[in-house]
Amino acid sequence: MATIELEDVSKTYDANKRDSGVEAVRNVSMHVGSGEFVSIVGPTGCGKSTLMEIVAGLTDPTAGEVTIAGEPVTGPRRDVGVVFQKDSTFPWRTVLENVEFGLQMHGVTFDERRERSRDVIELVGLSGFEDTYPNELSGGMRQRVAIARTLVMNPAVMLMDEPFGALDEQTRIMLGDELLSIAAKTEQTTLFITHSINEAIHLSDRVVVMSARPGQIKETVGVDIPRPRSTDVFGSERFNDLSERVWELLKPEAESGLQR
Amino acid sequence: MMAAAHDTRRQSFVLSYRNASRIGAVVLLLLGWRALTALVGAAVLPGPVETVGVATEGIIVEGWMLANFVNTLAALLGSFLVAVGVGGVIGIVLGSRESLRAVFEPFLLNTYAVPKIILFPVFLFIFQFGIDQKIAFGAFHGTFPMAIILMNAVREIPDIHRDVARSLQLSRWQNVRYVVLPSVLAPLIVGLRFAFNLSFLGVILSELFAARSGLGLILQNALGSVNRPYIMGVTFVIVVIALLVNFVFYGVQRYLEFNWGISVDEGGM
Repeated sequence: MATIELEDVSKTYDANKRDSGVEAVRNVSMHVGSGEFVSIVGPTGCGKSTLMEIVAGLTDPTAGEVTIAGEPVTGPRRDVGVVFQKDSTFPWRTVLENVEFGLQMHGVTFDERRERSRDVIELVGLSGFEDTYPNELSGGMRQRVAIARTLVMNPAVMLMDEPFGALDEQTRIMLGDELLSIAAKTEQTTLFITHSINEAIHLSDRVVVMSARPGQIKETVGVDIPRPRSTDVFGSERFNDLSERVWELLKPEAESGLQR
Repeated sequence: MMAAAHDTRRQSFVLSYRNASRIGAVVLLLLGWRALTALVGAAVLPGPVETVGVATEGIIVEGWMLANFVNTLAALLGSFLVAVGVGGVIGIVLGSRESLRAVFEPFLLNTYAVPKIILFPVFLFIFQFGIDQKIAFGAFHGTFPMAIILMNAVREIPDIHRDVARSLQLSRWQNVRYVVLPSVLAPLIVGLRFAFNLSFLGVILSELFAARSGLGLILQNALGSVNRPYIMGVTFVIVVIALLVNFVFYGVQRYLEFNWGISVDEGGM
């Protein structure tokens, strides 16, 4: 039961650091059920990424507690996989070597990690590119490599921080669709950060809308569009209603975010 | 994929074209040298054939250069290793610690700017005439570029790579071996090349000034007696050592650029 539990999580950056005394998130409490896909949307700078780093164990909260599968988060852990927004592939490793990196670091034997990596490479649609270096791949393909590198660890929880944020619209829709079918197969619990309303609705069971800084949860919108979903959901009546609802919640926050 | 294959073909063409033009440049240089010899006379400037003859004779046939040649190579190897070790540690530490960098970076850059030969007497006082003096003075030259290049390389490792390393729970050793080292490998090769070149400069300088053995010493002796073939022969050997080692470094550098798409910025050095 890989649930994610956040209880009154707040984060204020130290005054002696670059973001001096900035309150990034305030009293965030939320629950992500086992196998659930939850997106967090919010205006730029609302602390979405900070929240994600806290759940990933990369940053400590100033107050509050995060538990995953009932255990408090004290640092990065093996059952939690993270996919970052920026290109995180290693340019000196081929696709296959990038994907198997985590397994290699955890002492998985050569044969086993090669086999598992090839399976995941096929899952993300990169078969035939095993021996290619990242500099020969497009941004979308590099992000698939990063996703595969996380998937191959078979984490119970996937944390994705705007994984398609740097990609063009068509690519992100197609990759989102692939992510849907992957998530259906793996039954992982997924927390997905995005600034795209459509992407959030397309992928999620629930969409958590955050306020402008300091980030707080404004409302949670349930997405009752039946699964399996595809890109066909775009433009459907229910999709448009939900999209409008999320935008209504987000609009004042985006405006106040702009006025800072 | 087609685009990639096309690029590979074009690149290998460029490489072979580049190599051909380099060989052409060497041939031109030798022809120019020969022409200059013909112009001023072989008594004034010995030609390439005679020079190579003197060098071979000195190292292989008669062996008058051999002991000095070995001595210089030993000092060069020693000073290179010291420069790489000391400069490497300084570079990694300053590169990863912003607080230390703030204090020591200006010191490092400013000392690098000083003509280091003016400190030669200090080395002579401490180490006197032995090979350790040459090693120390050579290493003193080579340490700076090694430290500066590696410092900048470590500083520029993308944060995202550190995040990946942390989220995958790499140990400190795994982080250095599998993330930091590969990240800085291309600039590291440049650092090694500069460390070698400047260590060599330091060794030869110290041999020219005060030494009991070495290529610099016999060059100095030949200069004193105006023995032109010897001057040219020894100089030729020194140039060949430098070029051979640099070819190896350039080869590794090109391999990295070609296979990893990592281009090496040598700006500022």
